[in-house]
Amino acid sequence: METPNHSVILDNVCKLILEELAFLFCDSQDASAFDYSQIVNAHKASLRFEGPKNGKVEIAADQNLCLVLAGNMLGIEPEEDEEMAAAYAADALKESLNVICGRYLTEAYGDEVVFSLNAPEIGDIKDLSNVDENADSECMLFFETEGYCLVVKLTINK
Amino acid sequence: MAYNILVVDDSQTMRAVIVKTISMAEVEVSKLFEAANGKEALDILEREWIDIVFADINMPVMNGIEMVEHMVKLGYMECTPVVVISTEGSKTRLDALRSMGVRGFLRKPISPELFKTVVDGVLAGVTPGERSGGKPALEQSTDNQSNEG
Repeated sequence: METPNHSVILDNVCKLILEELAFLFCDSQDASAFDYSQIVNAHKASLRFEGPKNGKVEIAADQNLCLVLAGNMLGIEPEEDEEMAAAYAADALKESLNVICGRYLTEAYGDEVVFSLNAPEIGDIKDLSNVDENADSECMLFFETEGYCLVVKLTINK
Repeated sequence: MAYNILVVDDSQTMRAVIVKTISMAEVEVSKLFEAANGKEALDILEREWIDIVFADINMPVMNGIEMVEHMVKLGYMECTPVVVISTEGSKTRLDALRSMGVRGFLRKPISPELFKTVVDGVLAGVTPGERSGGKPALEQSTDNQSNEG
């Protein structure tokens, strides 16, 4: 199996999916210049996949961005219906991760192979900085959209 | 014609998006049911007549593939069309689902235009069922077959 260029594929998939799913247009950010303090108040979700390769994809986004994400997916204005947007915010992030991961695996490994995706789980933002001992490769991408940050991390196991 | 519709997805956001897309596609709804996994969906199918099921694949408790396998065993697939709405991109898995009787596939994120095309195609062969007393789909299937005969 040819080794895919994970970061390029994931970067393209994240931008495409967030645009199609929630009308969010993401700009890639320089990892070395990224200020982690921007994502203290964030929701974080992770999703494990199993197949020809095992690993996980994680996503973290500012809570206010999650409100925008939920609002755009549902077609509501978060300012007008704060309660509803808040109720859906974390779930909207999980579902975005689910769609990103599914599309990434097809783009990276083709449509003949079968991967099983676990249900996305909400986690702790601190987990993003952990280095997985089972990791064969990792990549972390940083985006800016609507004035907020979004981080996506891919871990491929050995 | 108005249809009884079952939406199966563990994401409440995606269920809401699908319900909204159903409305945008101008599909007339008689009753709308929602389930967060395959097990909940089977419970609904057991007690309610459902004209079409929109189901995700990756779900906790019971995933969409297991749900379809149960529907095949119970004979529900003959009278209740299933459209899979998922992130799934594997032809191998989609072919397996197709061989089990799944009628349509939509990949997330769904576009309202494609949704309408697929759903119109699937519903073209569906006559909304009797809704008196929420007859189980298996019994309804038997009735339909005998009526056709």
